[in-house]
Order: sequence, then C-alpha cells, then structure tokens
Amino acid sequence: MKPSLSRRDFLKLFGILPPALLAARFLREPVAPFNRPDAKNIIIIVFDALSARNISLYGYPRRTMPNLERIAEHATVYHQHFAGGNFTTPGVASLLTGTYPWTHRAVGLGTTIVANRAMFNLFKAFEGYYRLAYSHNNFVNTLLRQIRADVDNIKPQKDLFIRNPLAFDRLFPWDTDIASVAWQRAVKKGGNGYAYSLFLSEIYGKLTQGQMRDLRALFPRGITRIGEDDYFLLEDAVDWMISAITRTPQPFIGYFHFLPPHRPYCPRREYFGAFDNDTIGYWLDKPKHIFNQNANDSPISLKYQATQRRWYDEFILYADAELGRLYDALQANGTLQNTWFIFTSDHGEMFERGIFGHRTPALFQPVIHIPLVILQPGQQERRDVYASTSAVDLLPTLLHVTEQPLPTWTDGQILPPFADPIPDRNIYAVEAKYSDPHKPLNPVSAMLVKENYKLTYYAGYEVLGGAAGKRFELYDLEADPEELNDLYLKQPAIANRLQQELLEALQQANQPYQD
Amino acid sequence: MKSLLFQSKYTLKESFDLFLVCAFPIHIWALLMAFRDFSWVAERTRIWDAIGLVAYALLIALLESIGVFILVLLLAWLLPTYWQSSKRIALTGSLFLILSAWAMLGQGYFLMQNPLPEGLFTLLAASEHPARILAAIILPLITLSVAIPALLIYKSSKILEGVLQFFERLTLLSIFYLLLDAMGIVVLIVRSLTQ
Repeated sequence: MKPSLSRRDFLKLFGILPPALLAARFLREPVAPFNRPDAKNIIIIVFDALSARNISLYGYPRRTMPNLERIAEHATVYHQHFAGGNFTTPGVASLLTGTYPWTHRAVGLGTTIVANRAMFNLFKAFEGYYRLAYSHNNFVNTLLRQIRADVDNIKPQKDLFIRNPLAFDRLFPWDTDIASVAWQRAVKKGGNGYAYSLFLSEIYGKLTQGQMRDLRALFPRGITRIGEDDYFLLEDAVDWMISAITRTPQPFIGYFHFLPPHRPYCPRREYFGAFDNDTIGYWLDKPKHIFNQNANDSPISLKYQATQRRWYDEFILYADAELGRLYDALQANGTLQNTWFIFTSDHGEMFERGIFGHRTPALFQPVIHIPLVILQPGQQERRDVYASTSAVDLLPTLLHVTEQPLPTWTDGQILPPFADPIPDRNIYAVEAKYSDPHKPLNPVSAMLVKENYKLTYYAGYEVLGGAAGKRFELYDLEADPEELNDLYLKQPAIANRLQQELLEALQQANQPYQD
Repeated sequence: MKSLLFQSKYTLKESFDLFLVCAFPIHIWALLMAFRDFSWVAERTRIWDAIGLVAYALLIALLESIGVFILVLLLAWLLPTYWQSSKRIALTGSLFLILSAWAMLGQGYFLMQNPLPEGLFTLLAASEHPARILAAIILPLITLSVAIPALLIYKSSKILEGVLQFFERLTLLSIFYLLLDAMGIVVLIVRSLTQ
C-alpha cells in the first residue's frame, strides 16, 4: 500500500511549520468582541506587599511615595482599605473573586480557589472586555492559570525576567509548575551548590554570572529577584506594560501585579541609602507579640527592625519612581482619558513586635492595611474616603462604574463615593495558610473591623496550646491606630458583640466544610 | 557500518558506545538527585507530579548526554588517527568519566553539607585571592587524576583492555537508563495530554 504521506510531503509540511507558528503568535491576540465605544478601560496595578503604613500619602513620616501623592491629587484615596488576607494567595484571590478567603478558600501558600468559586471572577465578570494579565509573583500566576479560560492574554511570567533561557516551563506551558521546578532543580545550583545536572548547571551558572555583572553595579543590595535567582527589572515590566496597553484592543481590563516592594528589598542605586540620615530612628518600640519570630527569648533588636524598615522604605521609593513613570506615560499617550486606573496591593509588610515580613499568623494593621487609589477618567479633584473598605469591594465597584450588572455571589460592596457607604459595615480578613481548605479552617486568624473597632481572633496555633487554643484582641483604630492598647478585657460589651459576629461569620463560612 | 559524522574514524557502534559511556554518569547523578526530591514533591502535590519531575530530570539528562557526547566525540576526533580507534575511545571515555567524578565530588561536597577543612578555610580566609588559591590546589589534582590514567591506557595494553571491558559493562547499564528516558518521554506526553 502506498503511504498517504510521502517523505517529500512530510518535508514540505515541516517547512511551513515555522511560519505557521509565527503567524499563530500574531493571530493569538483576538479583536475585542465587545463593541461599545463609550466603554472605559480598566487598569489595576498591584504592588506586592505594600503596606499603607509605610506610604507617605497615608501619613508615614518618610516621603516614600511622592509620585503616588501626585497621582492622588486627581484621584480617590481610601484611607482604611483592608486586604483579604496577609499574604499573596488569599489577598489576590479576594481581589479577583470579590470574596473573603473563608469563601474562596485559596488560603494556603500557592493554593487555588475552590472550583465553585473560581468560575466567578473579575475576568469572567468582564467577559466583553479584552482581558490581559501579568504577574511577577508565582502565587498569582497559579491563580491566573486556574482561571486562564477567562483571560484573553496572560503574559508568561518569565517573559519579563532578565534571563530568559530555554526553560522547561516555557517549553511545556501546559505543565508549568512541575516543568519549572524540574528546570530550576536541574540547572540552577544557586546557594545549595548542587543540581540535577553535572555540567549544564556549570555552564548555565557561568553564563548568567556574565549577564548579571553590569546590572550588579546598578543594584547595590542585589538585583531585584524572585526566589533565589529569577532576576527581573521593574523598569522592563513598566516598559512592556506601556507598550502592551497601546496595542491592546479596547475596551480592556488589565491586571498587572509587580513584585516590588516585596522582599528582598533591592532598590536601584539612586534610592539606596535615601533615608539613611533622617530622624525617624527606631520608629516605634512595640512589645513582642506571641507570634514573634525570635527563635529564642532574646529581646527585639531595634537596630535590626529599623534597618529592615529603612531598606523596605527605600525599595518603596524605587517602586514609586516607576509608578510615576508609568503614570506619566499613560497620561501622555492619552490612555488615562478613558481608563479607570486603580492602584493597590495584595497585603502589607510589618517590622514590629518581633515580626518581620508578612509570613505570620498575625493580622496587625501593617500587614493588612493596604493602599487603594482610584483614578476616574477625567477626574480633576482629589477625594478622600475614610470609611473602612475591603479588597473584596473592588470587583462590584468596577462592575458598577462600568454600568454592568452586579453579581450576587460577591462578599463586597460598591465603594464610596460611587455608592453611599453602608453604616456599621463589617470588614473581614482571614489568614489560614496552615489549614486544610476543605475542612473548617483551623488554625485560623480572623479579623473583624466595625466602626472604629478591630477584633482579631487567633485559634488553633501551637503557641496558643494547640487545636483548642484561642486568643482575642480588640483595638480602637481611631484612638489607638498603632494597636498598643488591647481593649478585649477592658471593654467586654463591645468585645462580646464583635466576638459573636466574627465567630458566627466564621462558622457560617465553614458550614459547607463540616464533616 | 561507519558513523555518519566520522566515517573515516569510528564505527557507529563505537560512537554509540561512547555516547552510552557519556550518558552513564549524567543519568546516575540526575536520578539520584531527582529521587531525593521525589517525596518532597509528592507530599506537596501528588505522586504523579513527582513522577513528572523525574521524567523531566531524565529528559534534561538525555539532552545533556547528547551535548556532552558531541563534545567528547569532537575531542576524540582530534586525537591522532594512527592510534587504534578503541584506544581513542578508551582515552576520551575515561577522561570524561574522571571529570564526571570530579563534578560529582564537587556537588556532593555541598550536598553532604561538609564544611571546608579548618586549615584550608583559615588559609583561604587569610588570603586576598581565595578562589585562585583553591584553583591552584584543585587544578593540579584534576590534571594528575586525568593524566595518570591516560598515560596508563596509552602505555599498557592490559589496562586498555580492562578499560574497554569496563566500558562494555557500563554501556549495558546505560541502555537501561535510555529505556528509562523513553519511559520518561512517555510520561511527559501523557502529562501533556491530560493537563
């Protein structure tokens, strides 16, 4: 029998493969199916681990974000905005789903949203828009991959890394997580000094060292990176974003998640040492908390605390400069005339009570109080909102301002001034990274903010005596914004009322997961 | 039958044997390291992902083996043609195995978390050029470890015979690793179809 495909035919077909692949690359960006000339675009910028407590716009004595101050002159500034959780996964999942972590259940490091909630997300809600997303952060990419059917274009994370080698996660895009781990373990010796590969790792190391040499001079505290050695430049990400937006079909919604000022704090040379000689000193000396990270019982090193804070502030200053550059470019090319520009964060960062960073069960203000600035197209005046708001409010608000129907499945409310503030509203935040998301959350940290009070509930942690251990803390955020005076025992009436509401809400959220 | 690339120098069998010699240390190290991570990945995700990790490690090892083989073959090609091809294969193969042993030793040292000997550490710390001093100590050792066996293979037909017999056993094991590579590729195809 004559073969249906001759060798010559095969070679011909093989020959047209490269141009076909190239053409597919250009054809991948579809034309927006939504033809409403008056529809406004939406740009959401998330700076990772940016605490409102360290931003000059919110009263921090160091001038860490002069460009955000400039943007705020024509925007709405939210002064009491809360993240859904205290690290990326729950924080971003809350923003994307408009639900609290106890609802979306993406509570563990790098976990995903429960299936019956993932189908309701920000991108799905904006189905008629061209939907574009990029994130430096791996955890965000895990979430974006989960909802990739609802996003038209997810820019691959490594496209904006400095080194862009023939990495397996690019060769095997359908199996990114494991392919990426395998590639990392195979070719990167890193600090461990060993890899799966005997020789390739050596060559790879030498090549990358050469590539990095020039940049090292620009970044005295190390080049901005994810993990050990996935180097990137915020400048590259901003440049890409400016150019991508001009090429994107309109109306579009873009979610851009940039890692700075997340640890490691590596400002560019111009910002290095920017706050070395100011008078802030040790800032506040707060008592050690039960969740302090000291391995032994030694006192908090105020010098270390001050250094970490200063380095973080310098990194914010660097990130702010890039935010300013982005804003100016979008202003200059006219994008902002018909675009809602939203600036926020996924969670904060803390440098007090013996707790550093954000990998903690604690829900103090520095890790949970985040910035939110909304720039409405054509807005000229600054507006300030002092009511408590949450990351879960962004989704219903964006739908409201773009005149789309509001979903019933969100935990959020339309933000003021786009709707009247709801009096006595409850705002929650949840942290449960060590819990099984498919069971009632334990150990868990949960926060309720109501009026000017904040009740925090910690349960099930070893330091509290194990599964049955509990602790409550109550603060008056208006009279005591630094949370130094625990009122839980001093104001039992308020404490009991809030405690009951918080525990009821938690129990209700856990109800579907009871055995 | 002659090899396509080096028709006047090596038979296809000789070239393939040299490839198998190159593949052996690369695969053994990759498998050792990947299985160290197996339980770590399985605990955090699932066993199928851990199997995927090993499959990727094998694929990288296969590609690395091909790359190294090409370099070793080029080196073998530079050797004088009046030497028997078996002698040239024995020399280049041994050279590669010794260098692989050094590479394993280097990585294994970190793997075992061994500190540097105190005397050496003090010497390095006191000097202004610790990297140069370390190279000055290690390079002669590597040179000797390569030169002595090479000389012995060149001079002694008994040693040459022994090395070739050793290679024969090694190639049998390497064929087993190539089978694992093939299984790994199947795993990756299945993973791509099921994702």
